[in-house]
Amino acid sequence: MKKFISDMYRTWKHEFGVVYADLGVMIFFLFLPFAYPIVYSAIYNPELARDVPVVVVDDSRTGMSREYARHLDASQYVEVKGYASSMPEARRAMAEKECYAVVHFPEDFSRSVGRGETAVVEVFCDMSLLLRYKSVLMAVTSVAGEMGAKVQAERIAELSVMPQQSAGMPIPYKLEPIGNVSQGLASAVLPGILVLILQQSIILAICFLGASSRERALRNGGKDPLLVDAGALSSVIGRALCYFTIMIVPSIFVLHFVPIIFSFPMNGSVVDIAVFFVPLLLAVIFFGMTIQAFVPDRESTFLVFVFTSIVFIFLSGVSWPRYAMPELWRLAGDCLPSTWGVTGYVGLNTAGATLAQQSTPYIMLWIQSVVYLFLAFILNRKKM
Amino acid sequence: MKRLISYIAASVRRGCLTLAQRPVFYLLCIVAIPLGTAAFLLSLMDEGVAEHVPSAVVDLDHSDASRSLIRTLGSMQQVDICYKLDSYAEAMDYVKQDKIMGFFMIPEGFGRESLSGRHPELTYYINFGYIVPGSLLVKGFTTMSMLANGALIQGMLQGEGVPEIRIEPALQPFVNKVHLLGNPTMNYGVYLVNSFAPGALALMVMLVTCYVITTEVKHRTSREWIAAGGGSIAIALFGKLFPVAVLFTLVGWIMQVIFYGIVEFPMNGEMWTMLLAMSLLVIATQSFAVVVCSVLPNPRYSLSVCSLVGMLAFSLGGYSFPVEDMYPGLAVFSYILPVRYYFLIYADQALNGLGFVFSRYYYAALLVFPLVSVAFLPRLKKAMTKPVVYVP
Repeated sequence: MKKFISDMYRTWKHEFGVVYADLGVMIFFLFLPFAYPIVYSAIYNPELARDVPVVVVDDSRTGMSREYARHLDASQYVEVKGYASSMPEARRAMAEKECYAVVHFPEDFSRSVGRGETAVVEVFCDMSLLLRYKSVLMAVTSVAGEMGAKVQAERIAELSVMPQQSAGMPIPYKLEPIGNVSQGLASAVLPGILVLILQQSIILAICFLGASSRERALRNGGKDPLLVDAGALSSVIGRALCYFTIMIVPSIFVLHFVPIIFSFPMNGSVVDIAVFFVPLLLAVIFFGMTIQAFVPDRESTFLVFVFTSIVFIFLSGVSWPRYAMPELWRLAGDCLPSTWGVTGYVGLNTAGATLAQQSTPYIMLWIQSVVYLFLAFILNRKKM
Repeated sequence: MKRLISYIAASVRRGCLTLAQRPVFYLLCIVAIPLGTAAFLLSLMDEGVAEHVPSAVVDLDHSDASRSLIRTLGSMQQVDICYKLDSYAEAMDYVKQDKIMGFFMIPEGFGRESLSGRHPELTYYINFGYIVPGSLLVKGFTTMSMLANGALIQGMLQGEGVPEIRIEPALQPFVNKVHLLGNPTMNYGVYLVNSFAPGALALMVMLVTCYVITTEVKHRTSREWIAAGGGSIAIALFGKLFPVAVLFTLVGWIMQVIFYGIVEFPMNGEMWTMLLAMSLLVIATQSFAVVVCSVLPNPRYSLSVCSLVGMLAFSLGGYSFPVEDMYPGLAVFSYILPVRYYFLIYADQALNGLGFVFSRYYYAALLVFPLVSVAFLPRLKKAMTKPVVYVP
């Protein structure tokens, strides 16, 4: 036992030297977690597509249609770029990317309102980006609601002998967003991406270390001269603890300070999040040390590993929700630290859950830590 | 002339041999990863819309009206009412445990049959930590609230004997008829796979190109490589990049045939415009990698840069967040990414079927990349003939 602890301590201490001597590894351990989250957050930080350019085709040419268009322009989501005299002209403007939606008032638009019928507004929307479509939809829906409520109240008063109600819906309703109050894209997606960036930088760095050790061993007749003479288990744990120590500061930066800098939602308890991050880091590190065994050389690591970021981010459910995934992919996601890390971090940090409420991800990460430690131990034993 | 051809042939042969030496590795990187990513994304989103969002309803009214509302809510396709809960606190707890994404609260007194007087407010709580299900819930719950209003007014007016034909338009004076051009069902797969799978392919093109060039440095064979091209970096590079380009283009075309032929993603234009865009994407991305390798002839640094750029391209390319809404300082960088032009071509040609002429500048932009890379060839040659010693 005493030997076990002293072995572990020696590997822990020794591994710092190995890491600090390797610029490539240092980049992924230290530079990446500081630079990448900033760039990523900055890209999405405007959160919404604002003032999406829209062209109006007004065949009605009445005060009512002009008022409708004015309301649209006033919304933060779209901007009326101009009027077109006909639909073909408007579609041409759209093809030239002068606008991303066309709002068409048919000839009988105002007449329908006057006759007490339903007036139709036609909206043609470019679908290349969902965010733009969402903005256009928000704008036209809220204007139709706003202007409709007034007309509705008048009509009901006309039709009914009931006492006059105030304008608006008789049953009021409202949306209360939880966690991500701005409903912005960045605040929803970035917390998940932050966890993934952390995981991927750690795994890449660990794979590099493994590949370098293998290359050194090849040149040195099968044994890496930088390897500490220690038991397999103590060596695996010792190295893992070294990476853990190194990643404490970058993790705090990524998961605490980046959300502050970009004012992402932070509704959770700092203590809960900190506690949650112990098994997350451990699971990621041991997962990395498991993968490490399959990496042939440093350069190949990039080719076979970088693309997994896309797969992992989708499996985590930040973009496409997990409940809508086929069973197989949900199971695959269950095996990855990032899936539980993202779920737990978004739950704790964004929705403001307590650790008890997010116990499933927390426990899953501890289970993964143990399983991947075991796998890393088995795979590393051959090397000794 | 004959000599020139023999140099080219020798270089191409050498380029093919490089690939043949590690067949499994290159097949994995060139064929399996891009097609695998496409297959993964396709199967992940095969339903197209993430409907039936797990949610709950909190009924504090327990009236006939509230029960009828819950029934209607249960029949909506956007939501899946998994739980009927008794309090706000309980429902909030379920949200925080990720059991549900949101809930609909029916207040006490909801069933009061009256148009006058204040009605208690319907409130719906939605977890926006996840944007796709969140948006669907907004749609479902808002429609529900409007229906509830409609039903109430309709009931009142009918009670007074107002003819049915006049009630409907009174409830809805304005209707927006929204035409979703090119993607009428709002299929998320169409939107995402069309950009992310070619993005993954471009990432691999960049990495493989960078790898095959700088591996000569690592194995200290770069002089032999240049010599095989008769001392011409252009010929040597062509020999190396041509086999890679052919393979990637074929893989890209297979991807497009799967998209537009098999899973039937919208293809409102002509297929050749997309096939052309794919081959130009491959060439432009290779050129980008050549520039990176010329500036940083060290395998590790250039591969690091290519990885970082390749991953950032998914965001900076502007296919999830519009470029015009990014900070201008960042937005400019989207213009140096080949995938950005491919994506714009896709939107014009496949999605909107506008015709080649509307995308002419994007095609031209993709052709600029190889031209720019030519300017860097002398630098690459210098680096390859006097290689920096590879530091492991």
